[in-house]
Amino acid sequence: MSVADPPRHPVVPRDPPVLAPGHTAASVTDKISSVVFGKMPVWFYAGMAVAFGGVMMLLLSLTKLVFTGIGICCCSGRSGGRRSTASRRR
Amino acid sequence: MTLFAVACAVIYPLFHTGRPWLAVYWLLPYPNTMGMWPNFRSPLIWDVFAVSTYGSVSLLFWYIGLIPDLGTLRDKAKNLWQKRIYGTLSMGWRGSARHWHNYEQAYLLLAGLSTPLVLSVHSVVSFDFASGQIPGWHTTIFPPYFVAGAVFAGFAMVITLALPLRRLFGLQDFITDKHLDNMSKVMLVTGLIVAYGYLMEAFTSWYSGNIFETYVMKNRLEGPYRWLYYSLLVCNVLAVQPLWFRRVRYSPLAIWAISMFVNVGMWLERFVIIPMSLHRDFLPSSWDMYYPTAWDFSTFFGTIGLFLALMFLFIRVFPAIAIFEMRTLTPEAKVKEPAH
Repeated sequence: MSVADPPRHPVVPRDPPVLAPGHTAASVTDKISSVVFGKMPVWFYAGMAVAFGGVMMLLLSLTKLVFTGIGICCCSGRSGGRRSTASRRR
Repeated sequence: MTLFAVACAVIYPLFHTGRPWLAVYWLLPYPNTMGMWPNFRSPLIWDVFAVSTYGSVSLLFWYIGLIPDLGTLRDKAKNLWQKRIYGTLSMGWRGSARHWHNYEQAYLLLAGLSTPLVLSVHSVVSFDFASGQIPGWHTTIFPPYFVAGAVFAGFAMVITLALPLRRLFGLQDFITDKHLDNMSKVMLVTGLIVAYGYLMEAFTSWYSGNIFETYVMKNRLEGPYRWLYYSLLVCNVLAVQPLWFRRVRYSPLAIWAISMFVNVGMWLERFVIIPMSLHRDFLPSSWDMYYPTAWDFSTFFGTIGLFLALMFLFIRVFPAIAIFEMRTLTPEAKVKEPAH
């Protein structure tokens, strides 16, 4: 390897800082609070929509569990829903 | 993260009571006209105490920790309603010496309460299993094994969430390589403790000479769910070994990939402990296979959705990194003692 060749792997400093240099109290405050007050990127709303879809799925499945468990609903589950043969005979 | 995980975790035992609207009546010990008390010998009750204590202390610790930052947000807010809401939540924080003194005392106290709570909560949750007679559950190694597993999984989840946020919001100055290195080291150490737990489980099952215990391990290695057990070993033991190398610990992509392996591995660990121990117990006549239904999947993925939705809301409304703690790291915060 000649002197001009760049290193094959990025050089990692022996003791990197906990906070990157060049920051002041004001810059730290501005940067972190910009996430709260700034405009959110599109991916945030996309992610939120997917997560909200998950919440709706949870709501549906919990409703189904409760309704089946107490025998309100006619969900077509293995254990619940339509009343079992034995109870229909009664 | 803890609070949102507790919110998801509480759903499962609550709905397993069958009539969740009566759960408080059945599970919480309070003086009532019928003189009825819950059965304190039931692990379900221990779970109620563990989860509620963990939830309430975590909530307090989280909220108290946020107060100075809520004051900062109140001062920076431009909208009147934002000012009012953050102002109310910051409880009149002015950042005076007296406020800081009280704040630091409260925070120290809660930190002191929370630290042993991490050990006690996970030990109690492990007792839910260890006090049962089912082979695969009835083992004394569970408390330390669960505590190490919780720290292992917790750090993996922090990495899973923090690295994408760091990249997407440009927070590399605050979540630095030093943090990644330290988190990776903790993950490696706790991963090794968990691996020791797996090894000891196998050793104890052989050394006990108990045919049921021996069969549990045989079933894990050769039974119908063996591929899950091997996947668990790959995810929780093999996948973390690259963290021995400094170059890996400083690579966000590599750490993130390892943390995803750990997340999957810790879920598999729960599967190995619960359905795999239950599906072949003492009586071969009661042996069966567990096939999850669409409702099982939707509940599971739904709780992941709930967790992520709460995380997204949190990021939008509250500071994702403690502002005041970061301020103490700036050079101007280093007060020099005057020379005498």
